[in-house]
Amino acid sequence: MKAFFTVFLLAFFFQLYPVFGQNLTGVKIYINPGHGGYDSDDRNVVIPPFAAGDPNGFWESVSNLDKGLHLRDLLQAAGAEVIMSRVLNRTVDDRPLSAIAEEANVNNSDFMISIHSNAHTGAVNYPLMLFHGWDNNPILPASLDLANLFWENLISNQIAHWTYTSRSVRGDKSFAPESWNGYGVLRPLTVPGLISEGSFHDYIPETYRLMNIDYKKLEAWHFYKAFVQYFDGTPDTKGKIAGYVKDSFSKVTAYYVAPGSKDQWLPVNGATVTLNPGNKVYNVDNLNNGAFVFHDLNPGTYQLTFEVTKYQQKVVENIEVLPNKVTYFLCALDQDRSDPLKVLSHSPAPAAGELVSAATTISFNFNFEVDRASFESAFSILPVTSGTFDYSDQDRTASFVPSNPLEKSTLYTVTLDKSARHIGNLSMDEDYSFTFTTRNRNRLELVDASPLNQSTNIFPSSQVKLHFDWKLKNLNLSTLISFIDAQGNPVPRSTIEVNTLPGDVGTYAFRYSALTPGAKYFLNLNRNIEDESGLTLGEDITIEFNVISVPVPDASIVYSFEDAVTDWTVDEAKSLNIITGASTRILRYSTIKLFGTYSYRLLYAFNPGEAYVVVNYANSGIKVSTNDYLGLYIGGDLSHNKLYALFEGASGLFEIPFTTIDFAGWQLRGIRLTGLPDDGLYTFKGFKMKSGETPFSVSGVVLFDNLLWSMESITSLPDNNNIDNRNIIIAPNPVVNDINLYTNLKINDTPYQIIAIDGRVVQTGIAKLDNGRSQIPVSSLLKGVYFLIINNGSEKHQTIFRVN
Amino acid sequence: MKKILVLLFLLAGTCFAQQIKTIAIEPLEIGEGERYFYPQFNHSGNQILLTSENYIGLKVLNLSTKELISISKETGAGYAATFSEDDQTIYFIENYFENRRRLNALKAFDLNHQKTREIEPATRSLLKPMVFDGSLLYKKSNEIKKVDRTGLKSSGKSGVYVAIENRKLVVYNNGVPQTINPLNVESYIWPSIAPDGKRILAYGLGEGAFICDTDGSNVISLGQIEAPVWLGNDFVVGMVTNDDGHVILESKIVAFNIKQKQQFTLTPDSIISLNPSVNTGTNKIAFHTPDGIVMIINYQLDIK
Repeated sequence: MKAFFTVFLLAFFFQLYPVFGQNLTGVKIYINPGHGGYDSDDRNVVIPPFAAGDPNGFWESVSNLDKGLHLRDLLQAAGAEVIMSRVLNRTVDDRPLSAIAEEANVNNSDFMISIHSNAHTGAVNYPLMLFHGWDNNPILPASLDLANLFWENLISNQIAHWTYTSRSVRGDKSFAPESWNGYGVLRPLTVPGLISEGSFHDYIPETYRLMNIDYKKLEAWHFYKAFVQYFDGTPDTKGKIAGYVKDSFSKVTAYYVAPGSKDQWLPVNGATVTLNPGNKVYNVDNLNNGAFVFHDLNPGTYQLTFEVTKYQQKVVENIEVLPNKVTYFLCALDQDRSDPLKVLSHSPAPAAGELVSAATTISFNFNFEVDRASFESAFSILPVTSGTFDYSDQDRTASFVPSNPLEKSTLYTVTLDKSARHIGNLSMDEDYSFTFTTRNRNRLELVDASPLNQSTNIFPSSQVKLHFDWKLKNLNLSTLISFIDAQGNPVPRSTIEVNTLPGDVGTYAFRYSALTPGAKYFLNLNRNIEDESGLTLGEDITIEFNVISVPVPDASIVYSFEDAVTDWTVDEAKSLNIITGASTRILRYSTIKLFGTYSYRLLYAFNPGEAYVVVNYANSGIKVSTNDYLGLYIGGDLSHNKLYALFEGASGLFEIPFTTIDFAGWQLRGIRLTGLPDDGLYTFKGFKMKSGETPFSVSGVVLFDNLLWSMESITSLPDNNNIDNRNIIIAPNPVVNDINLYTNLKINDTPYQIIAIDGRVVQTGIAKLDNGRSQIPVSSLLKGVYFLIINNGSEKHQTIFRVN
Repeated sequence: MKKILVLLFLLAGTCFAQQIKTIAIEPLEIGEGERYFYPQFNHSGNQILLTSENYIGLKVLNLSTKELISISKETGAGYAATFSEDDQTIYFIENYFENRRRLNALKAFDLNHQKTREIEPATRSLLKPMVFDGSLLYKKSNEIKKVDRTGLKSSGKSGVYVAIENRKLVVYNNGVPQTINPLNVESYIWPSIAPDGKRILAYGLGEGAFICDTDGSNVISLGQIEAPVWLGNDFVVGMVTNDDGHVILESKIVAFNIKQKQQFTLTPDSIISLNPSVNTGTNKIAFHTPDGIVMIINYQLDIK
């Protein structure tokens, strides 16, 4: 009887055994979930919607603990004894490394596992196992055995994308920096142990997966499975179904994903996954992972049903569950495109009265992915414009890109016929149409330049300056604007300045030095120079100029601009509408000069409207009389401001027009003082500079070097700077509609040409002179600088003017 | 008169503090290129046990003759090694694995004859031994056992033995177990008994090192001092570490005056100093660095 009872008990025990565990009785495992406490020793990865430091966001300590606790539960259910270094997540739970190892040692553990996840560049994801020792020489060989089992189980996870699938099982002394001598938690172990870096928590798709408790439990189950294999336990009799729910078409755009991988597809938040038989329901979370896991399933055949708003339901039959295995189903759900195609927004969408750049692209944003062929067929624009189509945001945005800039000052009507449909084949309910008007410009204009084309009076060290009607896009300008010699060799440039003026206008300037007198140089402007509104120059422009030696006429230097500027001051009281202080001042300047050690540098800034700055020269000893000649080397800024020389004598104060600063860099300009009365000597008192009242006149820098005086004509002045040689005068200048031409020449109706600064003849005609006066229309000309040449065969004269 | 003398003595005890300071730190020259860890002095201070980084193997070095004797090459041999009170025997545990399960065997190495004998065969249930009052005490299965000076094994029904059993701190007074929880924590490590047998030193996970009476009363917290050991009955020496979750970044050897509750740093910041062992007879403390260099502190106790 007793024997029978004993046999019965034994039979009963073994009958129960498979129900309760996989025979790990007596095995003692030490689990160390790494880090702890949301502190500086922890690892926080910021993922929306969680801000940095949010305890509800991703923390490695939390992830490690979740895995550790589930592993504990699995091992204990199998009869193992488990010690955990922590079960809570506080700083105090983050034990010193030596204490962790000692706890495993003194409690006679059979194995120690330290659970972690890894981080590197945010672009990789793979499991890595670390045992103590070198790659080919583990200090405790059993560590390597279990490390391999861990890796094999973790790499089998098909929910994750692994960027690297080669075996990553490393000795810590080979892997870690040499100065570490291995990892602190492995070094003091008397028992086999390993550090599991299960995946990379800084690879954002994985970060989101590690926010899912079942995904972490799956990793823990893989640890457990490895332990069962290691300790020859009984394999799990149950299986699992795991996978993810993702969009079949839409892709992730908000963060980096491994290109071309399954992580590229957008996870579907909030899906419901129903398992039958058993009617088990899994609610996918809203944390951008799409992950689901059904644990502890009896082997058999199952059905999965996937449902979520705005997606088509999917039913999958014949999912086979096997013991001790995970059956993966990676679900791609099609969006429920049962609504018609709808335009959510368009561009351009200007406010009332707002004008649009002629470089604009026309775009539509849709609620679904648009069928390209139907979109292109349904699209129209009036006036008719040629262009191409472009798609983005996974075809939820469709654009029409005009081949050329749109016409300026033109009302465009864009229509999308309701025949446009989405990839689900449903078209729009009605036509969609909008309008916009372009600005009064459709190309970038070069409105002024120095040097001008064919200039023959350019100094060897000077400045190039280009003025445009819009701010330049500062991209590759040094390539798009080339500066070469006659042999095609690039010429060095320095002090490059871009867009230095306020408002819409654009500028490009640079300095050069040591050009060869007598040589020819070229400035090439590429047609693709672009402004900030997207318009381009549209055509190549070449400016050719010749360099001369710096002219040094036979005249006395009455002021060298070498002395300290103590006698030179900006007279704010006599100036008008200037911005005072550092914006308008005169100072001695050693960086750029033509002669000696210094020049003087006048910085100025005008407010809009009529404005002028007066610079006084106190204690001037420079005496002049009527009909004397003055010359001055001026470093201009192409501002078209007007410079006057100031004199004081018996008849009072006089402002004598000196020159218009219609150039950049150094020039020698001069005047004959015919405007002074013939009543004695006059003292030179300084300068006055009036604003040209153009967008390029508002601020800048003008340099002065060597003031010359002579009683004879300063013969080396270039002809077109000799103000005495004015046979034709035009006004207004600048001009908008018509030029009034005045001449003292005895000529009749005379042919004229108007030539652009690039040398193109843009207008010709006959100047009909009436008592030395004629009117020439220029309203058809674009904004810019032009030459007017009148030439009747015996008289040829030219002057320069600007169209605003 | 006697009362006055007693009073003066008591006042002296309260007025004067005992301090400890480092006189010198020197590397222990053992062999070129060889790395050793977890040094353990014998009672006389003329010999020192050495092992490898993971406590694999055990050697003993005569500090005078520099003779290095290999005792064991087995896993775990360096973990629980200890000298007998007369320094003639070295007790140690060797780990074996059967079906991946860990077994411990207790052995004794006779220094005079340089022979090893087995005290307990490999078993799952052997706990770390201690030497107390001339005898070796250890626990096997559910029994405290004793090996006396002559090597005779008997039941350990005398003496004080402290062990970690499933993370708990268990004190055996004359064979009678008492589980104590002085810090009210889940887990204890590094237990030891004071030289005078009256107090216990241990480390509570999450709280740090402490001492208490053998019944768990009169607890004095010592702070986050790891691997603590006794220096006499009045000082505890250990290490204070700083890690980043992967590697120890800093570690210094400190001494804690129990009465004055004052801590003294004995090593410079430039050395990562680990796992001290004390010999009060020679005023030396041995420790090792992460690179396996064993160093000796010569210390001095001052009364101020």
